[in-house]
Amino acid sequence: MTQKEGLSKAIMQSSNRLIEVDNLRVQFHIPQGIVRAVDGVSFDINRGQSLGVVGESGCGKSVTALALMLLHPQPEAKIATGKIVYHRQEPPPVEITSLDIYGKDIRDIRGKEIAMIFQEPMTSLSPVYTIGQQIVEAIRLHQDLDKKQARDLATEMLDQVKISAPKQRVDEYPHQLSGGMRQRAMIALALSCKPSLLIADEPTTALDVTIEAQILALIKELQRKFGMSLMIITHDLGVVGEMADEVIVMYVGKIVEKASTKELFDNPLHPYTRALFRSLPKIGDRQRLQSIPGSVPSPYQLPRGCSFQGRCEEMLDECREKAPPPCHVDGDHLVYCWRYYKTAESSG
Amino acid sequence: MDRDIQIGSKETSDEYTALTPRQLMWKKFLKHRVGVVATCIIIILYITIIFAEFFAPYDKTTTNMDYLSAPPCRVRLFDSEGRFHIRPFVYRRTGARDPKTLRFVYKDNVNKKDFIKLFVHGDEYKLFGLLNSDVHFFGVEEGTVFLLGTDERGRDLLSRMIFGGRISLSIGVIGVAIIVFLGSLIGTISGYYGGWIDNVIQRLIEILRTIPQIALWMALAAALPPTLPSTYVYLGIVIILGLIGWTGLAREVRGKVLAIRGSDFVYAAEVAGASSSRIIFKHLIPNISSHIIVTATLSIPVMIIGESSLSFLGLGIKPPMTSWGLLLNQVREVQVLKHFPWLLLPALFIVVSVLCFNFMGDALRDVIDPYSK
Amino acid sequence: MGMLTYILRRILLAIPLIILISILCFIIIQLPPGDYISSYRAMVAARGGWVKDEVLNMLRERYGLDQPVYVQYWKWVSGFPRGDFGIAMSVSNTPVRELLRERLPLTLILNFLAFLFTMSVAIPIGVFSSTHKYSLSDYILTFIAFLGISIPGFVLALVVIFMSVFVFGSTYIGNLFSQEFIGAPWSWLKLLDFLKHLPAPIVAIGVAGFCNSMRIMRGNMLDVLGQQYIQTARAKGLLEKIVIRRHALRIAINPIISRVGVYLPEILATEMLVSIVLNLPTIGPLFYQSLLAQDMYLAGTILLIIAFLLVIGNLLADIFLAWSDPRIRFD
Repeated sequence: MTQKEGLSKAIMQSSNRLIEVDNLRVQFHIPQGIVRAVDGVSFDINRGQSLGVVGESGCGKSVTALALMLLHPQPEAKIATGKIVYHRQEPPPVEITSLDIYGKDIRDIRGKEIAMIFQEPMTSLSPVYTIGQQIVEAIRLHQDLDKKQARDLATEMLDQVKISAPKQRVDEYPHQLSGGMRQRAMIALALSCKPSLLIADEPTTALDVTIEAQILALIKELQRKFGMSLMIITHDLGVVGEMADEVIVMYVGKIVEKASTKELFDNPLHPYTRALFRSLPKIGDRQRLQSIPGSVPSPYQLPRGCSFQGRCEEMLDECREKAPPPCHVDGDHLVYCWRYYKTAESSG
Repeated sequence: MDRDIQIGSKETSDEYTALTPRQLMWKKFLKHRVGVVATCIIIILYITIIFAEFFAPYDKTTTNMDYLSAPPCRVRLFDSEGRFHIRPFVYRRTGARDPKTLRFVYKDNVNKKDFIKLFVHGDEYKLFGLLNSDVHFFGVEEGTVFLLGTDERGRDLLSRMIFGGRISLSIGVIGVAIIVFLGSLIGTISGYYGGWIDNVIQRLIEILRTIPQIALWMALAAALPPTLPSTYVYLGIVIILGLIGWTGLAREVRGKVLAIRGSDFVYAAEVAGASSSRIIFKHLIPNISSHIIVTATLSIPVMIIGESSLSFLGLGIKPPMTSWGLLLNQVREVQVLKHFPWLLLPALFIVVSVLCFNFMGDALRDVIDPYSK
Repeated sequence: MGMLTYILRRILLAIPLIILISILCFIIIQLPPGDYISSYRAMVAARGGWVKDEVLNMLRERYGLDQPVYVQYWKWVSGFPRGDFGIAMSVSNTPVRELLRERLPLTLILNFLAFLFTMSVAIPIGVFSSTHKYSLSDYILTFIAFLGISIPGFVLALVVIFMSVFVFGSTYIGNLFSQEFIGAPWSWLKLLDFLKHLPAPIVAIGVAGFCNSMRIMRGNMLDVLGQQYIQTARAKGLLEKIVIRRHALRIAINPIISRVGVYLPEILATEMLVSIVLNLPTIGPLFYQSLLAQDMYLAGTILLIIAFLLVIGNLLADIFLAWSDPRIRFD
């Protein structure tokens, strides 16, 4: 694109920007050593946009999400460096990383402006309070409503997430509901204060496939209805294809590729991404399933250079020496791989 | 557990170091400094009581009319003129009755030094009923060394405590052996067969657990005929402790058996036609044996405390045998506490050994069954 | 389902339990070898007395001592629902009911207060320990907890006596009432005197229980704090201390409540030992005296009463647990 187009796009994007993450590093201090769970991650989420985060277990995607709300586990996890900036409707933007973890500022944001739903609906809701009580707790924390109004709002939210008989459900306990209904209740809870960003950490991994489809459709519909941004974390490329506008692929604490969903699916660049796509079974394809050789390196002994070395089919000498920088291929498509460094350089 | 297989490390060499589970557990146990210290203390205690006749400076029944209710003697390295002696010594003491309080008071005679030596000749004894000897670990050639004082009959407290430890600590071990046997057997049967057997056994356990253990122990111990000789009382106490104490272990074992019973490898064995006893002995028990070891270790303190409580109340071990609890029986009067506080020392030994067993068992549990906490 | 059916069910299950326990107690009564009457006569003779024949006949009649075993059992047990707990042969044939009249309420009060003391100290400290994991205070508290459960009850009682008399100079030791108030009717002064006698035994009884409960509370809290719903609560934007109190503590405390059934006999056992050492007018020392005198009928009766109290206590704890943890109700 021309410089002018690029500039106007950049201006448009900056006013649209909801979250900016810049070189975030989150480290766990445990007796065995320091684990670099998130190791220099940068990305943006725009208003009304969905960002998908893909990677295997342990790649740091959940920790990244938790860090956005300063919910990274205490006292082990610390944000070592990096900035997270949250742009409210009215300026000024809030630098989340500078806030006190237990302070009022971040607590005002949690639940009200940024909300999160988790993977296990079985254990995400407290077993000793009714669903209504738990939603009302969130409502009355951030909104100035009396008990009856809050309860009515809670019931209405349950209706929005398409739970049957919401007036009864509101007084029931979580263990009286099925997994799918519990997840709907979680969504109702998360959206009860109309947040600008919903973070969904593997929301359907623990659910049946049919329920999964319903929940995903519900999230998508509500996102549109409330004009929210969505950050959806998953290890399932199918979910990403369904839900996300943009995708980042993570491996061992780092981003390896970033692109729009269409671009990623059409043209995966990073060897890891390509291997992920290859390992998916395809209907009609009767070939042997391909797995990625080797295993994820131990978090206490990360190799020098690119983390994917040893498993990559297209390794170069540089891969053992230095970690690859981000390379722009084709506009917004970013890949962290030495293979594309030269081509990117040469194309300017 | 940390994986010992590293791939993609800086050396980029495919080095496989795999340690056996047993070696891994041993290494992990050694990291528990407190557990290791506790285990060493216990080993020292048991060695001392096994060779009690050797380690104790005196026989447990020797009375000393000249030293009734004597306080612990002070072991010195410097004498009254400030000279240093490498060999520790005690001053010879003479006792006299205080005319006002009518109690014995002891004064050091600074002119007579009795040096403490190792491997001295003392009271004769028969080690394990076989070897005759009179060599003791330490002692004095002339005079007396009562490191922990004497009781109202002039008997050396340290020696009596070492012999008493033999009873207290051995009851702990034997009692636990009974508990392990009964508990594992009943627990396994209950968990494996289920159905009405399980129900009956569970009712039985519930009945036994509703009543406080100490009350049952007391009642059963009191039912022992008063004329029973000392050794039979010892046996009786051990059996009583074990007979009431197995319920805890049985419940644990049953829980574990139930958990394992539903697993696929047991199902596979059944489908392959293995008999019940084969499944129990070859599949179930090896899997729960480590858990049993941990529970058993943690049950020893219960046995020790149980026997001490019973003997303290006069319902347990009878003279001429002695145990730590029985030694404390004399301290029930407040006046005794005030004037002869060293008689409370057996309590310290009880606490220390129980504490060590608890630490040891806790470390073991961490190593063997980290998920049980 | 609901609470009512749950309560009724538990009560119905408790009845056969008590019957079975009574059989066990009766077996204990029958344990010592020999004929009861002759050993009773020997026991009295050893104290330098002799028994009138009428007394012996009355005993034979009351307990059916020359009739078959099951008759004896029935004669012993059938009095209980009527409030007739038999006759204490070793205490000059006083009706047991008389002996229990003051001792039973005092036993209940003492145990209840000790339980309250234990819980009110153990729970906050357990929570503190869990939220300050691996800190110095955590290590110290854990060590103290280990120490506490390693000290036998009677040793603790002795230590408490020592400390009270020689360190604090208190004279309120060795009974629950001072000399002048024993047998006197209740008054404000008597109550005050009673309260001054309480700290020593309550501390002695409470320490072992406190140490156990503290460690369990800490363990429970650590388990709960690792659960997802705690994260959900934080994500709502709640204050950390509200998350701890309203969400973590609320759930972590349930296993302790469910353990009360196991815990009550332990408290009672410690109370018995401590009361024997401190010579308190509760049931423990009475039980002990009866055993020393080999009065098995009295011992067995007391045992049954204790068991009955514990079953009731268990029942109350279960009901409380069902109220506290909704998952239980829907079993």
